[in-house]
Amino acid sequence: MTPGLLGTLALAATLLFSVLGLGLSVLAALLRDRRYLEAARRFAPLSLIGALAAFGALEWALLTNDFSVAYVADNHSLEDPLWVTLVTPWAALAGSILLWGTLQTLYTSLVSARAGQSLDVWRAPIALATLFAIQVFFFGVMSLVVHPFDPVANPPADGRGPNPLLQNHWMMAVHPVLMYLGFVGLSVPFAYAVAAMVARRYQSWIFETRWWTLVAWGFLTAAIFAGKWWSYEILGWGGYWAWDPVENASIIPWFLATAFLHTAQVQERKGLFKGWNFAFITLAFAATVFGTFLTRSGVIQSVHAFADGPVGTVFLGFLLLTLLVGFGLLSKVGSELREAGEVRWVSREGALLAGALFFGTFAFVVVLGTLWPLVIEAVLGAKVSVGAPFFNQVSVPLGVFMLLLMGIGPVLPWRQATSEVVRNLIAMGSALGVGVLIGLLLSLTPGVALAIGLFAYNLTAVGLMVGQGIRERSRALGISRFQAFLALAGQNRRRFGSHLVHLGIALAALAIAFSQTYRFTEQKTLNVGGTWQTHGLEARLLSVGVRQEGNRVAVIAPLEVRALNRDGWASSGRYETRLNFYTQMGGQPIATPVVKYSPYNDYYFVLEEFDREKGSWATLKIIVTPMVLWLWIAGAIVVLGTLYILWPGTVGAPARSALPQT
Amino acid sequence: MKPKHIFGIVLVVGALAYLIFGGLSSNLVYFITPSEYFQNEAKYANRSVRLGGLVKAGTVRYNKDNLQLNFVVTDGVREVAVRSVGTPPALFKENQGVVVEGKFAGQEFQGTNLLVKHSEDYQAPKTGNYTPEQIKKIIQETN
Repeated sequence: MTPGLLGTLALAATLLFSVLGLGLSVLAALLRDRRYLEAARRFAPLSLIGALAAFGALEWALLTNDFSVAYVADNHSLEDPLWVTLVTPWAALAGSILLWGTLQTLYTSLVSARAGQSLDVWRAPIALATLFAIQVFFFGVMSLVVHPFDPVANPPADGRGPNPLLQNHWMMAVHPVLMYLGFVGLSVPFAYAVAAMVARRYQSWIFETRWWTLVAWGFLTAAIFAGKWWSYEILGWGGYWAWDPVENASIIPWFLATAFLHTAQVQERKGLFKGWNFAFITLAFAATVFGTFLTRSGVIQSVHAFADGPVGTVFLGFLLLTLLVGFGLLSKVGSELREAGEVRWVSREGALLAGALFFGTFAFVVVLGTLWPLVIEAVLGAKVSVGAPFFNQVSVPLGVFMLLLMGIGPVLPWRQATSEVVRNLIAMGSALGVGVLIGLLLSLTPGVALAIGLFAYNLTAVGLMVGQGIRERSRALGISRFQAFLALAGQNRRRFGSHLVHLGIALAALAIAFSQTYRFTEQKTLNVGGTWQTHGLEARLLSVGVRQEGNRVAVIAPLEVRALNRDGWASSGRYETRLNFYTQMGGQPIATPVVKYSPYNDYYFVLEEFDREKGSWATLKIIVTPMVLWLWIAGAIVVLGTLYILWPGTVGAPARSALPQT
Repeated sequence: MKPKHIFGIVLVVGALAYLIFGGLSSNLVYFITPSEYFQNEAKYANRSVRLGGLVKAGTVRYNKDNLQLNFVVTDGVREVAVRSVGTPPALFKENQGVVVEGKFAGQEFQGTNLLVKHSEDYQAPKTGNYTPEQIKKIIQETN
């Protein structure tokens, strides 16, 4: 048995299991027979085993340097370090599709395992059929369009290895997996929505679906922050977000899933917005397919683009099918989705809907900006690009409105605003005003002053809500305020988790405002031994040297860095900025910046040019950016808040209904 | 729906449309080759464009003291002298496709940003001569 053979067989078996699972699920739905459902459920773990065998076969081929497999020959080299070899399955198209398919079988198995308890006999077969159909698509693509296990007629002695940019940072092992877990995770809510519409049970699906969506959303959020940090660490321009098509492809489903999470709460409690929820979740799942189509088709070029090929067309077809199924069903059942009441804008549900509409608009704007070059090319025949300034310009007003709504929404009561709420709103408004004023007095730009105001406003909102809960509870039970806080936080995890998420987002907005507004960039050529002082920092160039490191040659410029504090200059260590030359890339190096992180300013050093003859000088770029560190902290807070909500013990209706609704 | 609701919706949609389409039209950056520039100089004067072509061999000069990088971009037919400050010179080679973002100042191009192609399906840059069509393709890919 060779890895190639095992992989091909495993893929074929998984495709077969998926087709059988799909067929049996459809039979179960048509005949309303539980036995078919039970039979279909067996194919979920079987397809997981098949997919894991295929994925394992690819790892096996890579680890044993089996260059008779085309994927290995194209993306692996004998010189690759072990960790690079292990992550090479998602370094190119065929392997990423295999990872996607494998994670899909994992989610299908989880749904199937839970189907016994959480899904009724009408919805379970349809949800499973949808997931099996998605599996059929992915494993069909791997059998017919992109082949991870294609053989090479004359295996080379060595391959060229994965793209050097992907070997340059360990985030390669983390970010793509998180991203796929998020993307694939959104297939589950979509399947539940389809099941709900087909079975015409429009209310019950929302409870379980919210949990699944939050899982996918948590992975997506973690992946987006991890990706920002990755690009910050290696791309060498000192930024973390460039509105590149692939970045856009990750943020669009995030916006739509966020919209869903908000309107889903209203349906859960009030039975409103059923149509919106079906629409948002269909769009969120479709957006994951859209992103793949966009970046894998060669239609739009980007930093992440794989080569062109028929796979783009296939994904376009799948995207259209997804939209057709989702919206076709929605239009069919639309007349039955009568709302149980009216919505007032100045109420919790009004704010939640407005917030969701803003997220939807934001997603639409990003889609439009990403596709606009295609429109211009079709109409005018000119090659253009829509730069980051467009997205930044539009994001600011949308972001400000969202931050305002984020503070108000949770403070407003359900149904209708009452007079005690007005007091809270006045307090929040004052915090906003004071924050802006302080920002202006510190002579910051109006935009940054507004960001400070909005942060203070959101902080006040959360503070008021938590404070009120604590006071009421400690008075009612006669316990200390601290005990009351612990009791509340422990019992009402959903509420507290969402407070944490909101605080994280507010902090992220503050960090983005500061870091985007006050970035300082300077370039200088230093002789060895020369120093450079800027922004309370002194850097001395120690040497310019060359080092052979496995499959690359590094030109290294170590810097001795001292920082100014109250007692004068103090050493803060040695920082190595470098250029990595990978043999596959000819003479073209990859700049590898080094960052000195601090709570105020990040100091970002890039080696740009060096004396190739004697190593006596180097041209360096320094980028000083305030508050970037807080963006990563904010990301961690958002993810922790999500985990806090999801931690086992909070799911399930009995626990929820027993909670006070503060 | 009450008239005031309709008025509100029209206002919001109008503001959004203004924001989006106004922003789109003022933030378009054209991709051009040297030949395309010389066909219609007035059109690209004083606006940000992306100039694509090949770095002509033997024209790269880097002054380490004033950090100025000079080179000539050619598309096989016409060529443009590019002057750029703040671009990382180590990241680029002669006879390689490049895209420089910047503005024309008469016959000279003042670059502000040099874009390097980072494709996952990486191919070492070809050296030698490109046809204008190939150069066009390089520009499109270095987006």
